[in-house]
Amino acid sequence: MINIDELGARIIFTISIGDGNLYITESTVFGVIVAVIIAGLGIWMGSGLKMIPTGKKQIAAEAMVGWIYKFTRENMGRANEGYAPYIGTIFAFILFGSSLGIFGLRPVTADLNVTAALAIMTFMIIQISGIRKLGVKGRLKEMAEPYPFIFPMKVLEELTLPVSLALRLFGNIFGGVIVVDLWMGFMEYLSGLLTDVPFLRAVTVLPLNGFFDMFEPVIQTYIFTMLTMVNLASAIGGVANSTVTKLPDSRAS
Amino acid sequence: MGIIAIGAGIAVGLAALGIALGQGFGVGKAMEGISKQPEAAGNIRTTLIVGMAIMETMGVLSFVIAILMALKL
Repeated sequence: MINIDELGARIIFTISIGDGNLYITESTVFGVIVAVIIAGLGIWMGSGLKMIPTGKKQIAAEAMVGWIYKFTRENMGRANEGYAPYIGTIFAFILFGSSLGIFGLRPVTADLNVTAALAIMTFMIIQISGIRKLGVKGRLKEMAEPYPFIFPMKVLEELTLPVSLALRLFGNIFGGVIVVDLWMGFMEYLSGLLTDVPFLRAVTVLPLNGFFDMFEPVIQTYIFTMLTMVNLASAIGGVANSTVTKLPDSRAS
Repeated sequence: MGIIAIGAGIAVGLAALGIALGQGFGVGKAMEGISKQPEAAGNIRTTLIVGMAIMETMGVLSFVIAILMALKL
């Protein structure tokens, strides 16, 4: 059975600073590893660019960057294309960080600390961009529209956005981890009835892996970036801008 | 002690009930839309998936609550 006391990320080592301890958990280590791998991949793909691409490397890099820019443009309008690097960064990090379960590791985003950090980053970007664009007074005035008594609700809405972003990502990925763990325990029990080798754990978990470690991260990453963009667009350019300026989607089949 | 386990079960169960109903309605309407206008299927599918994930948030939140309750056992 799953041990309820060990649901959090395992502590790998502890650093003592003064009176307190700094715990280096699995999430920290895997997060750094994922970040380094993504950065290395990005630097490798971005090196040796030519005006007329010759290799497959540059074509793939251009396709990815172009897709991120198109994704941002569709949701935020052409004027706010400058936010595409941020969107692409969190997209790559959440996607790779949530899919670590494929390799049998604990996903980085199955830790509330990581998702809360990502959500706070989004929250700060939204507030700072809004204030830079409209000014403090303009931002407050925009929040008091159309009626002044709606102001407290708007403040509450702004504050609950990071909470819901963090808990959504955490809950979905963490739920997947728990379901996969439960299934592994069940299969171990079943094969324990026959032999000592837990052979049933080998292949039977693949459909669950496919759903919780490949499909779910894509959906959750999409949601996270989509909500970031929609809220950012509405903070920068008013509510109407986020939906009306949406370009026609060429993906419709 | 036992009442916490029952509470955790009820929390997730009721949330699942509501989400199942909501998602069922949503998918039904999306199917209607696709059958009326097959050329908009791509747009409808994207919006449907995003909407379903946002609905699922409520279930996930109650799941988090259930975990917090289970940690108290």
